[in-house]
Amino acid sequence: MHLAKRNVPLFLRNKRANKDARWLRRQLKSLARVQQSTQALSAAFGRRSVIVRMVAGIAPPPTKSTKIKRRVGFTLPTGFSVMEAPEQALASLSHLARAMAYEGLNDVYIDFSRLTQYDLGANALLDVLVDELDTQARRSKRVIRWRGNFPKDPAHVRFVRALGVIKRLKVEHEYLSKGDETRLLLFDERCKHYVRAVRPREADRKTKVTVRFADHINKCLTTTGRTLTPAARGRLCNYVGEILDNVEEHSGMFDWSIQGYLDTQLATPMCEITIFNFGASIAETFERLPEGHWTRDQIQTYMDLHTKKRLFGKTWRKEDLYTLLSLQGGVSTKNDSADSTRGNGSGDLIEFFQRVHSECSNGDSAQARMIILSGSTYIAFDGRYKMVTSDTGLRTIAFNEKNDLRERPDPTYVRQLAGVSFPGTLISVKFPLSTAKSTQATSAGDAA
Amino acid sequence: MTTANLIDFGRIEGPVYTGRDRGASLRRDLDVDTMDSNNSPVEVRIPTSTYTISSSFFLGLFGPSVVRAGTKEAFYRRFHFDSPEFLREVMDGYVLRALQSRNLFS
Repeated sequence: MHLAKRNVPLFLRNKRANKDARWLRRQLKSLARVQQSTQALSAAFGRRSVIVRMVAGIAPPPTKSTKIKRRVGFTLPTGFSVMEAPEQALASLSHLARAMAYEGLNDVYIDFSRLTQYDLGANALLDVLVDELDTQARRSKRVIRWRGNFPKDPAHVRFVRALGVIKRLKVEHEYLSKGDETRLLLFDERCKHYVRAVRPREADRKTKVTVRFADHINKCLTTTGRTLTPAARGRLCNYVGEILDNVEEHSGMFDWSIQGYLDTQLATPMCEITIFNFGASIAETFERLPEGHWTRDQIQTYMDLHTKKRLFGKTWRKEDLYTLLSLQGGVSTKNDSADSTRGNGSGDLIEFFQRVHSECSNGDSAQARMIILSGSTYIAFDGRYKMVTSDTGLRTIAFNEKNDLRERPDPTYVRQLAGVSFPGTLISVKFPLSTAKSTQATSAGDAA
Repeated sequence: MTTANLIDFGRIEGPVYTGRDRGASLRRDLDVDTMDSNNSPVEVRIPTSTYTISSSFFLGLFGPSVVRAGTKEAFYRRFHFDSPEFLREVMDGYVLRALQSRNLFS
């Protein structure tokens, strides 16, 4: 006879005990999962954010020792733009990161009131810092009080509300109105996986992000009644995929971000794209090549030529030449013989920019621009100097009138960042959308 | 032609194929090196839904075969591509890049 029929109280007691035991097992399992994920995060993130430490090192510490404070006031400089004022933007971020290193920090005030120049690249870096600080605080079970004001320019206000710290900290009552939100097109992805497993038959994170990014750009173009043709979409995916691949292969870290922003309410809507990663700079990856390495020997020839001609000095350094040479076709630290097939990503990126620039240049004052920041080198593209393909198919861009890599490049376009050094590589592109001639609704597939 | 010599992108997650590591890893997975040493023809099917195949992926997968073939013509004699029109020109460019000189002074 079943226990329920023989002894009802005992049956109910047993049933309750079994239920409690199951609940306890579930609790223990869930606790183990939490502990496992905390341990994984600890192993990857560390006690303190590595990124915050790297950004703090962008600028040298102040000569006068500063007092450690629980409260930090961060005033954005007038030019908070990696494109227009990279030194100012990076130095201010370094200052904030240094203040953030103090574990007892509990109050941050962000002052946007002086801001006159703002761009996606600087905004994205600030986003990452805020994100890291927030994670660091949560991990040590602390609460940080975030306060601040808004910029004066309504366009900048929209930027901050839509993609800036407001969004990052999920301050929902400060989000944009639905009306404003529909007039903005945003893209925001960050990869902070520290381990990468290659499964050749499955699409990885960067592949999926690349597809979504192409769809984002397509959406941006539809605001002007255009659309990417399959060929143009393919090329765009190609450029973005190559950049992310380079970032993962060369930097030694898998922490990369990609953001896109388009405000259709502006008189000339500017489509902004920024991609950056933390880790080794381009020059550092070249400097680490061992003696006798095939690429090192190739590069050394140029190093020797510039040394012999006494071209190196305070404003033109070996690091800058390494970074410039890395942009040339067929140059890659991963090439180990004349048969190697690497070193096409940078050339593809520059070709992408050249296409965008030629599509946008119709005499309008708002022109397409692109910058590359890596370590302490700044390279700007505005269409003046172009990448040229030689008879042998090799692509070169030397940023001088003769397009000769044996000569010094134009210091307006390739220069040292004064007093700051970015721990990784950042690429930022900006182009006016209303003047873009390309992608005229499914035309010939030669858009973007 | 045997099925072993078919590379069907429809069975590999897309629609974007990017990354040197992924291409090289797929080369090992598909054992393209053995196909090369056997000198056997290979049919490559790329579905029309494909967005792109990046140069790093393509050269990770086919680079050593292109270099081994020595010329564009020799490569295409063995590797038969059934792909969307817009990708043909792009892949031609990759093949040429794999064959060009790496020497900046040349």
